[in-house]
Amino acid sequence: MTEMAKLCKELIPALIDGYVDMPWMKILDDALEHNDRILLVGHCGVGKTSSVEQLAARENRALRRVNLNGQTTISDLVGQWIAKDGETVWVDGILPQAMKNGHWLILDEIDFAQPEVLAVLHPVLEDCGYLVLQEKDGEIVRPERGFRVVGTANSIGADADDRGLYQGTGVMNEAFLDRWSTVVKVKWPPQEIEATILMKRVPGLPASVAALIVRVANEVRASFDKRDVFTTFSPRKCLQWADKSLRYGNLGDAAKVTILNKLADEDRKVVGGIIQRWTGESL
Amino acid sequence: MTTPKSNVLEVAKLQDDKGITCSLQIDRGNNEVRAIHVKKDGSVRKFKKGKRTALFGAMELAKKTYNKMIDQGWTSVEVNFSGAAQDLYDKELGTKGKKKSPSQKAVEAPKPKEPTLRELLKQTPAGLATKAKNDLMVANQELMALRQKSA
Repeated sequence: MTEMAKLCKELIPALIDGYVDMPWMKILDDALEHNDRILLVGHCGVGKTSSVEQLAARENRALRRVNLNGQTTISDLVGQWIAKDGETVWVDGILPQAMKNGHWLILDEIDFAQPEVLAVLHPVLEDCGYLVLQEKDGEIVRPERGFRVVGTANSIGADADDRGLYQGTGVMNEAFLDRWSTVVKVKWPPQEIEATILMKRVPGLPASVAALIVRVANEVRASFDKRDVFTTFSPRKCLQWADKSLRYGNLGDAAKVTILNKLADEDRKVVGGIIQRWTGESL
Repeated sequence: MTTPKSNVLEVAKLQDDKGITCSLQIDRGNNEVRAIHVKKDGSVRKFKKGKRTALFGAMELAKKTYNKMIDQGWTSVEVNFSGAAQDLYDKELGTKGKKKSPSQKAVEAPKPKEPTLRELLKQTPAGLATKAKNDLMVANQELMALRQKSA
């Protein structure tokens, strides 16, 4: 097996036992099949990245993932010249690597990236997209068959949350947004699906506990929408709470370490009140 | 309770935690098998003729009565089948069919129905909290036992 074949095999994500398909996965699956450029927009922890990972696992596709932030440079994405054994050699960044090898690429949290970094992606996101390596004498990289690109973001900027929930995100410009051929606004999963996920991901969790956690989560989310609290309640938090509850045998103690201790005092009072009402535990 | 007629075999005797009993009997009069349900208040209800139907009919009634008691919140219900009923089953039906004997079935009395996830998601906070805490305690104990076993 060649080094590249070995690498490709290692890059195929593992199937999660008991993974429950999210409602948007049909659209995602269809978009990936038709080589759309897909942007998933939604709150943190809602399952954007994991949904792509699970589709890649099912399709046996090598998947690369890069988390963008304010410090991400163009070189991080496209590559750079480095000194090696007395010579200067070019090392491809994650973007040309994925394009050349026909991998799937997740650009996580693209709303955190600087505009000049996002501009590099413009030609890649177009139909018959390509990448120009300016620093390497303008070499043109064309994607191999199988290359797919999925972006994830907490907001698209235009509807950026004004409560400071995602501090540091930038406003994406129209030209950039226009290049994504499928934009999916990812919402919280329906209660029954979310409770089923909890029961599958936390073996042994009683249905009544899963139902209670989901009900609390939805009440906090409703409070967030009404601006009573400045924090929301992700499925990831639900999983953490469910797992600890089963281990501790106590909903209140588990809520403290997984939910309440992460909150500012004001939010803690409101969310604590909701949890107390639903669990009957004094917190 | 009405005195059983002659040639009557007691199939099942149900008793709640307050000691109230009712019984299910088989009447073998006139070469027919007839199931009799002696209710809690002592009244008698006869039903279904025929050997096989009467035996299994009595069995079904035993199960239904059991379920009804559980639904009404009775926590302890004993189901006893007499040895004579077992003999009757073995003699008249046991060698013909492959079904389990009534006494075996009675031991496997159905558990009280658990609410579905959909029903749980509609419960009030107080109701759901009580159930969740009880279920969690049991699940936690099972988890601990499993860990100790595998340690």
